[in-house]
Amino acid sequence: MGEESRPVSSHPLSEDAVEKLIKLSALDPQSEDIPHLRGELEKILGHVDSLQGVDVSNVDPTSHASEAHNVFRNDVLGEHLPIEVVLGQAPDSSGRYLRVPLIIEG
Amino acid sequence: MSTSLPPTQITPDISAIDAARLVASGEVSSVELTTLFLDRIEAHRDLNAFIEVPRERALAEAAEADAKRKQGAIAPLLGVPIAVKDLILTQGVRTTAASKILSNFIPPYDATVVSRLRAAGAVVVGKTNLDEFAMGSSNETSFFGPVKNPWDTSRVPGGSSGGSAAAVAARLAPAALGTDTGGSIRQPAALCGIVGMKPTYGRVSRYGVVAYASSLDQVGPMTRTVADSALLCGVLSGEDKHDATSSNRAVPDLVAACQRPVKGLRVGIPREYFVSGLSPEVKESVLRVAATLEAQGMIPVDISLPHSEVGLAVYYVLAPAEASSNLARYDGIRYGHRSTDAKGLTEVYRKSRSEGFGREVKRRIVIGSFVLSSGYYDAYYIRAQKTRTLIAQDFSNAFRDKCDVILAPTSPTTAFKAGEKTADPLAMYLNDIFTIPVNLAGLPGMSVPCGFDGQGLPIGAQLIGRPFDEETLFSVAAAFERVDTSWQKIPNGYA
Repeated sequence: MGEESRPVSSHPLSEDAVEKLIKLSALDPQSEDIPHLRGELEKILGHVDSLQGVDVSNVDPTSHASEAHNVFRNDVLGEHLPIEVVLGQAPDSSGRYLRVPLIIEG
Repeated sequence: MSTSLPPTQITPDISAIDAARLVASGEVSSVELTTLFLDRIEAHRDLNAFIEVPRERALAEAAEADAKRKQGAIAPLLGVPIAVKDLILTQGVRTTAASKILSNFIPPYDATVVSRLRAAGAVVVGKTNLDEFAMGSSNETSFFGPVKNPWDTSRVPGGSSGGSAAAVAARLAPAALGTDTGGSIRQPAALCGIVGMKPTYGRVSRYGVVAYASSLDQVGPMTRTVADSALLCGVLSGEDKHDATSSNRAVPDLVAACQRPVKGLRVGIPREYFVSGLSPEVKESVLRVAATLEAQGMIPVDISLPHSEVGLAVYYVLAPAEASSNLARYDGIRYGHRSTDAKGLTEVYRKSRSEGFGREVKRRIVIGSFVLSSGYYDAYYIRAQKTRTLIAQDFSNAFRDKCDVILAPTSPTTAFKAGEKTADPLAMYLNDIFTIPVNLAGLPGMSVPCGFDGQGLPIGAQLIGRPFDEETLFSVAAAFERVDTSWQKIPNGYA
């Protein structure tokens, strides 16, 4: 292990590609410093590219380190949080409902 | 059991076990003990170790503990003040994840680990600072400002559980809870000279813990002694119907495990962890641990974990991928920050998130979006998951054929200067190079104090065990603690 290998990513990202990723991430492209972020991503992905040298043929992927088991429960009503407490955390609400901005625009 | 200490001589250096004993015997009240620590938290505000200190509520909980004791109640942590990382939900007490986006969030329920602490009688004395959403290794990404290391306040305490580590090291609480996704309990424990324990994945419930990377996250204790760590680990562990990944295995008596003999146990020394990038002082100190354990009858064995080198790359694909999904819930609609400068739904999402998240969090969300996007999914995400399998196999092969416990450095260096690595994310990520593989394999891992460098900064040694074999870790850590006094040293000005 060490800091010696920092290859440049074999998948250079254009600024347009970074902007697309920002939108995919539900972030605001106008508020983000795209050139700076692009430089950081290139460096990080450059390090991540060391994975391409690992022989993973015939290896199964691991998604979880747990002893996976199904959990079965009876389909009965359990405890739930009081609605007024939950709505109390919402930025905006009305009666028993969350208030959201206009959804169908135009 | 009683002790000869009169109440006037309680020192802030008291362990959780001794504190519980004094409260149980009636020699000290929980209110006295809790007041002592609340006053110290106030006196050392400059460390910035806490985000929220609910003083009145903590004193009310302490008074309740005293009343219960008088009625004959017995509980392992009755009346003992404990600090909780502010990533862990506490009903009615603000929980922020050190993010602007949750800066006003009051949880409507307790995390299971907090319910378990309360059932054991503990008093929640405050919520500790952290890197925003637990993403960081220096506690410099917090919306509430950086935490200082009590050993040298110009240096970082490590992260992401840096507030918990600094609080325990500065004797602002006998013990604290942390969380560990890639080293966030063990690395700050090493940099602050305390004991940090990450249990096996599934040992402790994650319900009510703000999610970062769900296949890696785990809660654990941060303490000054191994026995305290064992006591807390036992309290926190066990199946929880609210977390389907929590294990239904029986929880052994971990405090008793601290007394077990270690003679004949084989300790594996992975050669891949003692290479370039590791500070010579840390290396020397950790190898001295091997010699100390050998002197107690353990057998050092050279082992190889050949895929260690790519652990960091695997982590920086999988953790951001999981984070980009987990953090999608912060949308400015149901709770958390909503931008006041947005028109329409899409703009509310985008602006609330851009305003609410800090730079490191946004960087990881974007990386996650990249590795999960079509065209890159197989090359990055699936390949990382396959490499994760190889890393886990390295450990299982070593534990099957060669050793009972593994000894390694916790962090490549001791505490570094604040600001030293903030401009280079990759240099910051390398702090976790020795801790990340343990999360990827889901194993229990522990950092114990093992010495100091030439500047008087603490060094941590990491012990790694088989899945659900926390007992062996506690046996070995306790055996080491009995002969090495590093854990007893108090940072200057915090006695």
